[in-house]
Amino acid sequence: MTKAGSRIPFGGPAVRSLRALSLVVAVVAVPALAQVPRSPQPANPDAMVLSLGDNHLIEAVFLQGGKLLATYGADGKLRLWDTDRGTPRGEAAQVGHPTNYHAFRFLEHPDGKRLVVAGAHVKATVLSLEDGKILHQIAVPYDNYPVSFALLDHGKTLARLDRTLNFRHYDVDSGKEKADVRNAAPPKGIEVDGGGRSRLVLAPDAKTYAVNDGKCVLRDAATHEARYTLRPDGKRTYTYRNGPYRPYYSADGGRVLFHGTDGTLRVVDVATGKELQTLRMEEADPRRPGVRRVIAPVAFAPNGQWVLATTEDQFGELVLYGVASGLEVRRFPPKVVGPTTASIALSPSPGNLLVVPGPAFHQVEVWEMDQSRIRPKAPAGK
Amino acid sequence: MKTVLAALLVFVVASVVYGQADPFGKPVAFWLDRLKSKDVLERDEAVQVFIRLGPAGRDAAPLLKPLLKDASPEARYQSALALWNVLDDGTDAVPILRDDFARLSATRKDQLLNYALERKKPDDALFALFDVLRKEPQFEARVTFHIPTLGKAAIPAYAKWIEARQGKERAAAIQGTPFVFLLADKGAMLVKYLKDPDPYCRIAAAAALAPLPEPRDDALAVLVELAEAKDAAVVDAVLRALVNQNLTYRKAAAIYPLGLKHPSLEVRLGVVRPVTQLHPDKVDDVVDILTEAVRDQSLMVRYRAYQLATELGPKGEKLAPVLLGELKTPDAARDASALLGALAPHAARVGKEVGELVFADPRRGERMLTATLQPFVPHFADAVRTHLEGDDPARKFLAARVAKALPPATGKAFVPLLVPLLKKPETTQVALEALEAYGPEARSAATDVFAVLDQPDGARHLPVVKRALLAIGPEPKALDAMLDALKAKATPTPAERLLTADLALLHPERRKEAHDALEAVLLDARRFDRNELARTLEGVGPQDAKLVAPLRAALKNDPSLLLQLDRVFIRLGPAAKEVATDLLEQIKTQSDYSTILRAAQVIYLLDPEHRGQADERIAALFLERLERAPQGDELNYHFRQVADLCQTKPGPTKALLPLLRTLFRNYPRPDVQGDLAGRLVELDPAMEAEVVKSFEDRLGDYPSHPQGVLLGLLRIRPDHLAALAAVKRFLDGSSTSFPTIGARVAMLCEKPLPGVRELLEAQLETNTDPAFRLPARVALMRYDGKLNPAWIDEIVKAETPPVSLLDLRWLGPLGRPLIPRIRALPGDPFTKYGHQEVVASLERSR
Repeated sequence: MTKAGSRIPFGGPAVRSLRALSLVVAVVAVPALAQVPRSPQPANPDAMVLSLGDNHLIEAVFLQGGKLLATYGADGKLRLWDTDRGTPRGEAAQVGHPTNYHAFRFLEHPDGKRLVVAGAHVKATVLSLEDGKILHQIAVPYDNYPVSFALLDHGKTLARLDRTLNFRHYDVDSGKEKADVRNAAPPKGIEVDGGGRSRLVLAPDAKTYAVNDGKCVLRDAATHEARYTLRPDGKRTYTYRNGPYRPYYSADGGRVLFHGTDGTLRVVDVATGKELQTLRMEEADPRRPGVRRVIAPVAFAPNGQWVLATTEDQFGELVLYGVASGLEVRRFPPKVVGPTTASIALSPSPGNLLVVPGPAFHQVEVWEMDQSRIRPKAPAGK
Repeated sequence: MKTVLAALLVFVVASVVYGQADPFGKPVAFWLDRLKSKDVLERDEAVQVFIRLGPAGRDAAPLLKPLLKDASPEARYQSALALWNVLDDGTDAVPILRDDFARLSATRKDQLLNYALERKKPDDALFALFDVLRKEPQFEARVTFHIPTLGKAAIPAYAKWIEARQGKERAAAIQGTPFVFLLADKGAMLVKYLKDPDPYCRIAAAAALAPLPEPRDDALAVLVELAEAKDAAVVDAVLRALVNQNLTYRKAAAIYPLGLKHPSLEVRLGVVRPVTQLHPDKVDDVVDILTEAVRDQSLMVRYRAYQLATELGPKGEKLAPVLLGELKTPDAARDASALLGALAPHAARVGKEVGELVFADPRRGERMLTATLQPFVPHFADAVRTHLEGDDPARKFLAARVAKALPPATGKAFVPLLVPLLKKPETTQVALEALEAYGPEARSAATDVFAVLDQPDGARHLPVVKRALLAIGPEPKALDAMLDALKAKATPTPAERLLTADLALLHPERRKEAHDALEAVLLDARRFDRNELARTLEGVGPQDAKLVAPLRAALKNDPSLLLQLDRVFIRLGPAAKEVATDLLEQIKTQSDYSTILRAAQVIYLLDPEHRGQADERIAALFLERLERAPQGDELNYHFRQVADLCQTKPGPTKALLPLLRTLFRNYPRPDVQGDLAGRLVELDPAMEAEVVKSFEDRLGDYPSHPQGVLLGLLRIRPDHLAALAAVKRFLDGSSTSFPTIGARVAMLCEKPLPGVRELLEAQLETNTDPAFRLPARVALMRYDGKLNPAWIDEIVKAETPPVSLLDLRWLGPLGRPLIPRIRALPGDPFTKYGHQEVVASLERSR
């Protein structure tokens, strides 16, 4: 049976015209969409507002312990920002194609000076974190839709995993493929949907990978043996707006966060495959008494102790959970969260910085959280 | 073996203890360490854990107290909640929550409200928190409605809360005292405020205490004294306190007339009832007030006035022209039904004028055709006759509709006028309905009614023709002609065959034709109206054993027919015993719970020896389902059916015991438990102690005893002290609404309850509420073991709503002679349904 979003068989004239139509819509509609102002909210005069030209934010990530922010916009350019002052660092670098939204990974090199940006349909790019300039590119082949990447051997090797679940390794400095690295062929029946936001994520140490296409699975990367499986329970309470969301690994690769179809989040110990915690919203959905509200993950703190989530309803509150207890530790009002929650980033130092969509479509803001609220971060010196 | 068992026990206990010690995955010591962490997030996570741990985290209190002084209001809020929970004492926490309340976000305020509403310990701190929450207008109502649910344990805290207030605030607190608190302590908590220095507090206390029998006299004396005060505001407060009561106090008779000239119409209307009852000489003043009120703009005021005018009865003679005048105004159509109701006591006087109004404008007349017009119709029968004879088609049609409301004895004279209308398509239906209403009085029209079927659209009228013929009951000679005509049809439709059966069952000598017709319908592959079939089969009895075979065949062909046929099999009696075999077969193959339980009921009554097999299947089916879906919510209706099955004699066998045990232990729905507990204890006497204890634990405080719990206890032990005391308390007359609960419990208990008879009889003398009178009378007739003909006449003639009539089924075998009478009761389909339920239940009773 063909699942929604998985491969559509080619060949029929109707399918061909549908594909052609979707291409036209993508070419015409997406740039047009990029020009639309997002909301009429007035900008906060004290806020740190980062402008992405005429492009909206696709992905953001904090680097260097939160001192630096990397943003990837709809123009395919990567920009680096000094989060202390809100100023750009260097020029924007063209690392992807405009409107290429798919499966980007930002890998901070352990030397703290370089950033490797890799994604489907693009070459992997190595940038300098000092001035944002492109140092060189690695010709990672696009075949089979490479969806997840990791930096291994202290940053010497770039591991690439495609949707057929095959590995390839590349030398980061020379860009050459390492011929000796292959994993076992996946058994029949294991198939990964590569479209849209990638739901296949490689662990930082590339020893495991996690998939969420409705069923959440953590597998050993070499043998494909499942360490943890969470099947849909048949009681899906909500229609996902953007999900199911991709799994998130903690920075050390010790824990992985899954988004269950029952509206809960599951934190799993990678080594043992044991479920450590189930995170859920305590109160009921106000529109449907007795049914719990559904949460969607936003970010997993690098130390694996905290999970930032949002309620997937019109209230869109941000909630910070403690993994040790499974309880809600912070809750923030909904005003900062728009429809593009997936682009929110949490700074590595937990509980401090957030990137949120700005008042206009092409802007992002840096916010900080304290105990009771989230507020726009003012640039240093203001 | 013993060692293994002991080890297992240790393991189980250890897991339970372990589970309790680490509800959040880590031991308490871990969270105590985290509470000392310098990382604010880690500390706050630990605070969240202690909020939920409760007294198990008592050791955290010294670490939480310093956090109450944290700079962040959020940290103070969370620590205050945690401290309250671990100490189970909010003394330190509430001041923090009160001071920070205005600074909290809407979400936090909402959480705090939920926290307060979930706390079960009603102490001073909780009431202090209620005080804080009540400052938010959107929370006020929720807190106010929540306080009574805390039960009588909250009385001391509420009393202190009142005492801490002064002046108007105290008066408001007294006024808001939940009535359940007053009932529970017989008003003792408010008695001292009858001597409060503030007159408004005295008024509030007196008004709250007046409905209670014990402090009533003292309370009314205070009101009478204050009504003589020189301060007009105080007198006004006394009047408003009294008129809000909806009760009339003889000892406050001197106060009510003061309200007759009050500037507020609301107060003046409020004194109408007491003044009418206590000061008959002041009826003229009352009429003036009602005259003003029926012309008021407000719908609420007008309807209250109509109600009061109805209560005034013939004494409101002077009001009749006013009401009639209102009925004539162009806007009156909207209030027509209520206005006619208010005029009903004067129907004989104004009947003719009402008739003129009905026919003056047929459109308005249509809107006056409500149930409240009925008392007037006999008084304008001449007008009805005139218009039935007249040429105006609209008025003729209206007259035919009105004619339906004539009493059958009067209607007899109208039959010749209605017969010609049967032949006109536009009036056929209304004429048939009128003739149906006259019943045997319209016998002369039977042939004409039957002739309607020969008209071009006769088939459309067949259901009404049938109803009319059954009500009329034609003579055998006429029946012969009708049956012959139907027999002559080459290919009769199923509906015509059912009519044949109905008419043949009416005929003293042609019952066999009914069998043939019914057999043909049942074996015919064509669709037929199942409800019509069920209605026809109402006339079937033990003498119709010949029908068993076709009924069995039809049921085999379509098992869902059981819905219509179960009662028929029961009525056929032993002759239908063989059906039990088919039903057992159905029970084994069917998966529909309702059908299975219905089938089981028939087997219980027809072939009780085989009921064990049915019980076995039912128990297996339910237990398997409950194992898969332990919550059992989707089976709620079927739990009820199982409870009903338990009430069906001779009762279930031991095969049902595992299910009854599971239902009782795991599904604490008091109404279901109350009905199955008796059978459960009968089948397994060892369960008695457990069942009684389970009920005793949930007996609750007066007046919040769950009815199912009372019933369950008294069915097992009719002399159970606490349960019996609760029933007697309901019947002691301290409240107007609670005696109904007492009467219902008495009615539903199979055995007489000691000492309850006297209370029921005493209440019957004063209580006029039909919801009390019917169950009380049913209970007393059961106690006597015989029907009271006068009561039965009153009950059947009173046109009480069907839900009330349903209680007649609890008469059991005693009520079986009533079956023909109840079956013959008129009524719309809904009422009929209620009647059928009563009949079915009485038929089943043994």
